[in-house]
Amino acid sequence: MKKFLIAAAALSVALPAGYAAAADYPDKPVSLTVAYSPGGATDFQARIVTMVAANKGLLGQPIVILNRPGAGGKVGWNHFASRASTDGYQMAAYNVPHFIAQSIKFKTKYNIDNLEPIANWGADPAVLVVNKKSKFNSVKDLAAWAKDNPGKVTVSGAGLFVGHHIAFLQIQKALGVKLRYVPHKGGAPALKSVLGGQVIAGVNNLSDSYRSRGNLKILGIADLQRDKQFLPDVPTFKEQGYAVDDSSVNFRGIMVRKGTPQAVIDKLAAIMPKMFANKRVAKQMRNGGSPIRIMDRAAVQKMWAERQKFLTGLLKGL
Amino acid sequence: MEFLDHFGAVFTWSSMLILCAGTIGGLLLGATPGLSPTMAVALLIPFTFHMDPAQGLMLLGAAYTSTVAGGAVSAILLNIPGAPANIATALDGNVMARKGAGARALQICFISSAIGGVLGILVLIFLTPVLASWALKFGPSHLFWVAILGVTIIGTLDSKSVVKGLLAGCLGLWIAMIGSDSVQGVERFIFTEELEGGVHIIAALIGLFAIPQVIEMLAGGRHDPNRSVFEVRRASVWRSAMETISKVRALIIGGVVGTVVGLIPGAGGQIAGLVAYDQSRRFSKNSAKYGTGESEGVVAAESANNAMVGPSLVPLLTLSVPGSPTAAVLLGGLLIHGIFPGPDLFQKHAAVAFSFINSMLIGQILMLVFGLAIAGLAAKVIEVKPPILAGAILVLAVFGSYSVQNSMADVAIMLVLGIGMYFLAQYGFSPAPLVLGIILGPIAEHNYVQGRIIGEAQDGIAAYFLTGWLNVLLIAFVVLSLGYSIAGEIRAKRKDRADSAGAVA
Amino acid sequence: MTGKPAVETSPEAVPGTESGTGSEAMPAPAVAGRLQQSVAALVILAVGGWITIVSFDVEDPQPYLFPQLFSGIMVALSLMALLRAVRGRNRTGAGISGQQFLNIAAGLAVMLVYVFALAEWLGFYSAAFLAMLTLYSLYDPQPHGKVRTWAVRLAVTVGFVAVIYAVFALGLKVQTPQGILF
Repeated sequence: MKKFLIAAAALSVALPAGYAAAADYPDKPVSLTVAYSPGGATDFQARIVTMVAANKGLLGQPIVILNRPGAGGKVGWNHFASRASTDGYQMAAYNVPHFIAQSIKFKTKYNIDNLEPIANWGADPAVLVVNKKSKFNSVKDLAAWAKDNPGKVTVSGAGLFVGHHIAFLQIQKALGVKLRYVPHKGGAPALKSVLGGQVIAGVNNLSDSYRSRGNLKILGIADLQRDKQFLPDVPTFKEQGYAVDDSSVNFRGIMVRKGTPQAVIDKLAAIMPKMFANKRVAKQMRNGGSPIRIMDRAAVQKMWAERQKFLTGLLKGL
Repeated sequence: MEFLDHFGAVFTWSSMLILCAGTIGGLLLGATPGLSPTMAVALLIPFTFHMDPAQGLMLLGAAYTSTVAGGAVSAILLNIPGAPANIATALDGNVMARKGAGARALQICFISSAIGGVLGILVLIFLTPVLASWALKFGPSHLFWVAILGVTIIGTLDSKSVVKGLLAGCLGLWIAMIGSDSVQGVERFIFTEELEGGVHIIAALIGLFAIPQVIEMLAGGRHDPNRSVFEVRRASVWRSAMETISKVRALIIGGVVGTVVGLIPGAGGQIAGLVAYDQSRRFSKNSAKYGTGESEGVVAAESANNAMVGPSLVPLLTLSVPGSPTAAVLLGGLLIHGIFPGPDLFQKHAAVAFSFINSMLIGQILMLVFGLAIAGLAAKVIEVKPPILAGAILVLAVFGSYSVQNSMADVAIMLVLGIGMYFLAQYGFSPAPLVLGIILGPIAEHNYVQGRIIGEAQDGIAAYFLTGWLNVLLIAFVVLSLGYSIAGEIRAKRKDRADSAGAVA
Repeated sequence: MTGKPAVETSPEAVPGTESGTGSEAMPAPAVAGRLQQSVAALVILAVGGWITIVSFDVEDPQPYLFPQLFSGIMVALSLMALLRAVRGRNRTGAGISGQQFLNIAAGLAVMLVYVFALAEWLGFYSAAFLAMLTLYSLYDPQPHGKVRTWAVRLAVTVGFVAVIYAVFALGLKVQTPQGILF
């Protein structure tokens, strides 16, 4: 630790930022800023996917998680996009569509143009759930009732301009009826409102809903295909005839600031997908009910650009 | 009685070693300013990666129970509550410590913690199926009334003047509103960049309690004529135990309030200690002595804090719904070992689930043993000379508030709030109602806004908030509590008038 | 002593709370004079008034519904407090004497410089060392001309910062701002 501090101090004085040669990068621990609190799904998964970073053949140095929560992720990402170093020793975890939607909707210091994706580790689609005791057995049942009772259907979700909210907006549009969105302080309280019968339906994460499936009915998945690993029997919205695509899927991955040397980005982009695919990582992720979806840098760049375009259109009217 | 069958797993050498490590570690982490039980558990989860599930959870269970009690140590000795739960402990505990009874205060604190804690875990073991569905009944309207009930005790909490208590509470409500609002994400009252993320409760807590304490130590100047050396009187464990047990009323109030408040998801244990303290004072013969080092206050606060631990896990273990931030972190710890809490947890993973619960039960006993062992020594902190102690608390406050979320902004907020609080305190304002405002503000607001949306979709907002037996019951409590405060204020005024008349004559 | 009014009722228990030069020379709890109490109430009134104005002067009232609710109550309460203070009915709070303010001024300066200037610039640990040593030396009644007392001060401060380093950097792996020193 002491050696590391001295080295870090020496390095920060002696070399201009970003000059660290990619050949011996990294020669000290790398930090990963998580914009949510310890124990949350993003933090939990970030800790799992980075636990083998120090292995030979991967980064060779440990990744240290730094939690900087607040304002739905805005605090951590603002800090990262404006204050983080560009030498590759400070990375951050991203949540799409959250950070893109926020950068469109609010005055933030971050947007897809000043951040560089490295790789994606997970994708958690949104699902529509109702209480086990509910009389609705399919999206169709709910849509029919909502048509007869406009404005009476309350739907819980985690906050505004996050994956759940985007999925809600898409579902509402596809159903062609007015629903009422009830924002909560996170996925867990939103799910609690469905279990406790305070709301009629809820949009929530596939992983959390899967864990509570004993007390819930999962009506549809807002993704392009079914989830074969956890919920093979639950149909997508598309299958049920509603035009809801995968735009609300919560993607999680790693990014750095723009200005990081290309050689460092390339090196990270080569190593990270290998790290996510590690056997131990995969096992722990499966145990935790967290769906893995590994995407390389090029794929993430494409996904970011698509989301940016889609969300700008969707949020324009709001 | 199934849990008894699983005690065997706890009484092995390796398990006991883990339990002891978890308990001692938890006590130390809990006593460190800035480290709430939530953070302490989050920090320990990586250590469980390499253990087998049952032992990993034993570590977390023991650590959780002991960090809650550990937070009381810094509350009593340094007047820095380790977590919101320990605010009420500081009110009388710290005064006791400064009167030389620090060792006794710590002993009483640990004994009542253990009594409350065991009670709470027994509730978890025996009443979980009954209570789980009850806990889920609490919707936005009910949580709103719970928060308002909390607001009604603001006026009487640790304050001689109801008006000033309420004003401090309003200041707290406002501080809680700073930052992005939780529903729309709109930024409010952000007049400097540091406030962007809002005011973190732990940073506020450290600032409001620790910094005025530091300044107060300096107020006498270098050659303070009034400065006396604090002495620490030895205390007998036996007598402390007898004293604690004799406060039956405070123990019952603490246990019941802790259990009930712990069950309510979202209100959480943050307010259990304060509510129990306030209720215990209202029903006590010694109510005038509360705040002057009355051990009954410590008993009520600490038994409530620890009684809340067990019930707060009920919704988590049976429904996979974490009712508190700490429960959310524990959920991560369970998942990482492939254990999905839910209705079938006790059938599918009985061994693991029961070792977790049993470890918390044993953890209470170990916490009591270790706590009593260090009480005498720890109490000597108060003997450190004020110029040293002032600097040490300042440095601890800075490191503690920084480490909450690695943020320099939190340190700045902590110091500014603390200095402001010192000046306010000179005019009769107290930090406790202010902190309660910070805690309750967001709960009240968020549930009010949610309730409006749901109410509009149903039979109207008024009907949603005012009908239903649970709403009516909670409103009745609010009215009772308000009535009590007003009656107290009128009585105080009469007495005041009589006193000043006497002085003139 | 963090503003527990209860403490004021038992001054003998907590030496140092009572300002000897308080505005009233009564043996019972000292209470600040009308002027100080009124100024304090005015400050709170100003804060409450500001919150009220900000909360009502907005384009989208929805996020401000709750602030609107309590800011009104706050203004009403601070008016009550002000009225009481002006009439001399305010019986809590000892106020601040001139001597007391002089005593704490140096300490406040150390705290502000420590947090706002040194901590990030010098590094967390060196700033902590400087702040603690300065505070200790300023308020230590021991003689300031002797080598021995300075040695004690240095040793105590270094020892404490070492403990802090062990707990936060080594134990909890907290990454503090590094600054130019350490």
